[in-house]
Amino acid sequence: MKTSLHRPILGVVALMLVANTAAAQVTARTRAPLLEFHGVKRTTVLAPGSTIFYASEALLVYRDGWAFDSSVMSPLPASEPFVAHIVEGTSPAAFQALGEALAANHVGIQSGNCDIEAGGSYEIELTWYSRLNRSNVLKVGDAFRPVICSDAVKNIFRAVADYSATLRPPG
Amino acid sequence: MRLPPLPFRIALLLVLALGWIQQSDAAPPLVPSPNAKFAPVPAGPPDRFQPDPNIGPADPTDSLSGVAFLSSAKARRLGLRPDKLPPGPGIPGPQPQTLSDGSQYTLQVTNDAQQDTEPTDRTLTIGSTTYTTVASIKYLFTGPAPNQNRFRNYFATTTDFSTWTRGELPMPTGYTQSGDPLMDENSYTTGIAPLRKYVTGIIFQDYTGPTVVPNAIGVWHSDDGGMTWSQPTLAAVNTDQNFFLDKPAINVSQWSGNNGTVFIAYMLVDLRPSNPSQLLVARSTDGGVTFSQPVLVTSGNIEGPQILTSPYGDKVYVLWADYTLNAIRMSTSTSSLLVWTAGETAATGSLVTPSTQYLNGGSGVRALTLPMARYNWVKNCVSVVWHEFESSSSNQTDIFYVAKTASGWQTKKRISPTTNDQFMPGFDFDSLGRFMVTFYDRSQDPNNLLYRESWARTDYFGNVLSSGVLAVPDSNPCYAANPCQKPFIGDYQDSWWWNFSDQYGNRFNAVWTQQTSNTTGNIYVTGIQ
Repeated sequence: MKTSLHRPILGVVALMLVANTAAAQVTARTRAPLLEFHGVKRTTVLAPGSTIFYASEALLVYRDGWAFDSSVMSPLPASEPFVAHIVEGTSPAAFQALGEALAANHVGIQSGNCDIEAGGSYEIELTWYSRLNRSNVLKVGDAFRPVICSDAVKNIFRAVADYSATLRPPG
Repeated sequence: MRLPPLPFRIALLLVLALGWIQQSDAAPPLVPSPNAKFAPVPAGPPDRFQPDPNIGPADPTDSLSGVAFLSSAKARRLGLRPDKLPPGPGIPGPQPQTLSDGSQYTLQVTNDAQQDTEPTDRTLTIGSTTYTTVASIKYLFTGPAPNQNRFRNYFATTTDFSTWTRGELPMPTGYTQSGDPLMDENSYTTGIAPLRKYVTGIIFQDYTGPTVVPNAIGVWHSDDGGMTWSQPTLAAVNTDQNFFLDKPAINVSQWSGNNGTVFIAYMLVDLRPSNPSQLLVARSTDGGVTFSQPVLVTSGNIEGPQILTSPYGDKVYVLWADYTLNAIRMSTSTSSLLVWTAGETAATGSLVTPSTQYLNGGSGVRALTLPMARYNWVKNCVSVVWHEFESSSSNQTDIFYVAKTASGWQTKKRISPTTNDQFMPGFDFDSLGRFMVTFYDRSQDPNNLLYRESWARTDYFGNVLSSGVLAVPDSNPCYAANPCQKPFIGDYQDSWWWNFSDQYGNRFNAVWTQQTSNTTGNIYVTGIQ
């Protein structure tokens, strides 16, 4: 009887050790950031019924062209568990186009707090980092209506969206 | 509403030709297409007739964009307006006289135990038989979990408003649901695919995984008045989970230069956080068998496209609701669809937006502001109806109308009561250019919940000439949802005027949904002159 009680406990301890070992498997790197993007949108699709689609995206782009993108999309209420679609890598041509768009639209001096007319109910925060120590945060969303963003700000978010699209091919 | 019948047009042509001889400074007539087998209603002389005091003043807006034509009042004065036919032999069904609620009849179109919503209708005459078709969404309980509740487009067609031929619009392989039906037709014996009825709608898969793919814009057609229907042409297909194709509208050109060409407008809803939705258009020159590549009209926080064509020239109009600008907007092009004018504002107001789409303060029926539009060829104006909040601080909605005449966009007019909610208007115009607007109306219920079907007859400036509430049982939109949270009764209703030869005469047929129990809602048609 004693023996049988101890066996499960030992098993749990062993699993905890394995879990701790897995948690320790991380890699640390240092990169110069270009931008951080996080957006959430709830879109009403006027199909029959009452369908709202939830989409969330987190995008990190570094100055060496490396990018990390995680997106979650689901109808609400969700009929299945949420799934994050993760992409990591480089896309040189798209990265160059993004850099040019950010420069052309003077991302470092733009201000947000406006609506880029993305539709639905949405909230986006974009942080841009300079080569040195400057940064600029642009917040846009439907909460800022009826203040519509300037074309430059719209162009910046459109460029980020285009860049994101190249990381995530249709499907 | 279609153009007048051929004899009427010929007579009109003769009179206009006489006027042309007398008026050397008149605008040149439209040049019919070499392929056209009938002449269009041409540009005619300026209105120099003396107004008949018994009829009223001549229209100040008889001309638009250099095109002149006879006003309906003048046509009536000259005896060109077709007379109403005498009452015919009795048929089973409604009484011919006008009822106390102002209508001629209200009949049940669908009669099943499911929930039917979002109706649209068209009538055309083939030979001596007149066919009226109503298409609507049926809410089925047929699929496997978790998608056992499916939506499909169905049709019901009648020749006598007594017996109906009903069925499901065919579904293509790979899709399980459909919805958002809207109809139009080539009601002539000429042009591309004569006497063909069309239904456009969305076709989509079950809600599985992160989104609903594939989804498509479908176009069905019928060559027997709506008794049988084709497999749908997939005018647009989306397999990208980031998008959803939505809310198509359809128009069949009546212009002699391209009579029968089918135009569609629809939304490509972008689900990603920073991307706006796109309004796209396409056309078919082979009767809806194939469609052109889509063309972008505009993008933004927009929905509810409507597409119209002018019977007087090569003009295509697209209208939509812009929820950021709180405006009904319009852009125009030619039938090439290649170049679109910058959007112009038809009216501004407090639209019911995706953020405020449920009435009753947020828990009630879904009722976004979605415009319904017509090209009123009698008065030569573009007309729009929609519902919006009474003010930016109100949570109750009213029906509004606006028109673009020769002098530009007119001031919008409220055409409904202000008590409680009125929403989802449908409308059409008659041979006099007057509109019949029908809508859901809660003014009878102090709790602002139950609705009835109401109507308002207006002139083309939106002035209400008469109005009424149908003597029908109250509908409870909460029957559409259990528990009563954010119920769905469709997003619109429709109406169509036709030159009938039965004992009820020329009339509108307005189609709407009545919710009668927890699981049952049926489509009704109301005849009204």
